[in-house]
Amino acid sequence: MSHYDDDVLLKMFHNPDNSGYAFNLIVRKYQEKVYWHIRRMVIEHEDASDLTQDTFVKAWKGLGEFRADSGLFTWLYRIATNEALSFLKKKKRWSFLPWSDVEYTLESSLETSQAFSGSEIERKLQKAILQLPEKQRLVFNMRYFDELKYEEMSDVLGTSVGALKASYHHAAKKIEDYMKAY
Amino acid sequence: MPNDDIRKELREIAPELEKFSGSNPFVVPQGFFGQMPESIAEKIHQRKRRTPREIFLLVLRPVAVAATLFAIAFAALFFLYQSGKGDLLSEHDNLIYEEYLAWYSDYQTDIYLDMVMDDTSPEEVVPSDDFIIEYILDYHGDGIDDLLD
Repeated sequence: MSHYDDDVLLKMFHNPDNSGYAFNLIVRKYQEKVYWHIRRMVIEHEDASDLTQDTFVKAWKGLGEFRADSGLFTWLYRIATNEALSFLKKKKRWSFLPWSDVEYTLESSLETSQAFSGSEIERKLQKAILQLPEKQRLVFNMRYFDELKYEEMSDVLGTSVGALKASYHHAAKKIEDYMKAY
Repeated sequence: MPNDDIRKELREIAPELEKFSGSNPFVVPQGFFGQMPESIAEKIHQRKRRTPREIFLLVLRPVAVAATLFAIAFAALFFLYQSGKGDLLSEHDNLIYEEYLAWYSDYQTDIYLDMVMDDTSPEEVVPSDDFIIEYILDYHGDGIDDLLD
């Protein structure tokens, strides 16, 4: 895990002699957060692994022009979110199935995946999260698991703090109702 | 552990969920995150050392496809325009032809009317003897004596 601040890492990256090393430190610092954010959206480990790599390859290509208007972490999160959403959209397009069926395949992979070690109640929680609309699922995961502030979420998703709060409250209520019902 | 604000917020809106927050039921293969930076570096390296042929396939092929589609669309539009233009030309020709026909029928009618209305039709003209003699003198002057004999 890198202990350098983002500003220091960016300065190092913009120096051509250190860019490779600096990027390696950036990957080490953020890879887990990025991976888990993607994994909760796409569920399967192989998909999450590929998308995490793609996220950092895109970051490598774009980091030269990155001027830190938003934080590095927010920027990486935004790329990762787009990658995950594009992947799900592509999966939907190529499977020729309606969206609910893609959700169903994600849900069934929770049942079969050996990479899921949670208890039965945690599996139920994950299934409840998969019932949410895509944007609400993102908001819920970012707040509940990643523990992001609403302001950070607003930077990533380009949505107002008020709308995010409403979305999160709505999602949490729905999940609680699902957990009680099943 | 979840931070206090998030826990407090959850307690207010969905207390049942508070007990799970912060838990992660998913697992990854052992050593996965240790290998990730190398995998990413390898992927970036692969992109850097792409051969011209690979670059052509990745970058120029979509451009070539777009150009082909554009050419097909242009040819289709041109063909449609040309066939439309042909119709216009034939219509134009028809108009000229009709105008000519109208003029010709008027012309014919005029001649017919002239013939009908003309009092001196060729059948009624009876040349005088003097006219005939002058005609013969004009055109057959040399042999007039033979004729008179």
